[in-house]
Amino acid sequence: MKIKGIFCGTTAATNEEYRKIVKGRNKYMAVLIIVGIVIAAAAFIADAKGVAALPEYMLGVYAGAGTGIAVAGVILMVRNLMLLKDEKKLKESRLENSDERLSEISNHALKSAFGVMLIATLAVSMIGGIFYPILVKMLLFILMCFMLSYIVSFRIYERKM
Amino acid sequence: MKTRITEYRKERKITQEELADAVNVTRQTIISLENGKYKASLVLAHKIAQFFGVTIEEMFLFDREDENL
Repeated sequence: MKIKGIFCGTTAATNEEYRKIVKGRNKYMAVLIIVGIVIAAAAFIADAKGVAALPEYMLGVYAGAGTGIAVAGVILMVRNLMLLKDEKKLKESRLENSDERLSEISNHALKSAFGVMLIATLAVSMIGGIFYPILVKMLLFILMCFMLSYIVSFRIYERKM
Repeated sequence: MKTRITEYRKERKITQEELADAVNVTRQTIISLENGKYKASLVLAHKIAQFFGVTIEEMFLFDREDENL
């Protein structure tokens, strides 16, 4: 059984409508690839020239994250291009992305995953905070960001519905 | 929620796949609706009822207690 992507919802009712959406998604993938390449290249250049006063470990993290983002972008772009060439797969993908039951499942899964993430973050900050107090500040920042974005999003959707 | 989808579908010799295609959902959604595991949205309920040429009330059997009606 396939899992619906978090940001893959669509209301496209026909393959033609969905084709345009997939083409639009590929533009985002191109941006993702560029961002990944820029992050990785910056890390490699900084490492090679010794210009960044960053620990070796962080340079590795940037290089790895950049490469990972770029590779993920390429994979998703290729997958989208393959979808565009195959009407049957395009239809399957459209139904999976527009199906209301799958959207509801995705919303429930998101809520559960967010709850688990919150508990894990809390546990890490409370336990880790003993050794690294910065972790507590990080948790408060994340919670504030979440609450703020939730309130703003709620107000926006409240006006729309 | 109970539905009469299976009954109407079999009466008209329509497969789950064909119905799913007609109302733009996956086959699994039709299975879940038939099993009563999933409640259709108003739009989907309307599409299914329209497909079979019946009213929503004829297709979807509301339980007055369950739905707090």
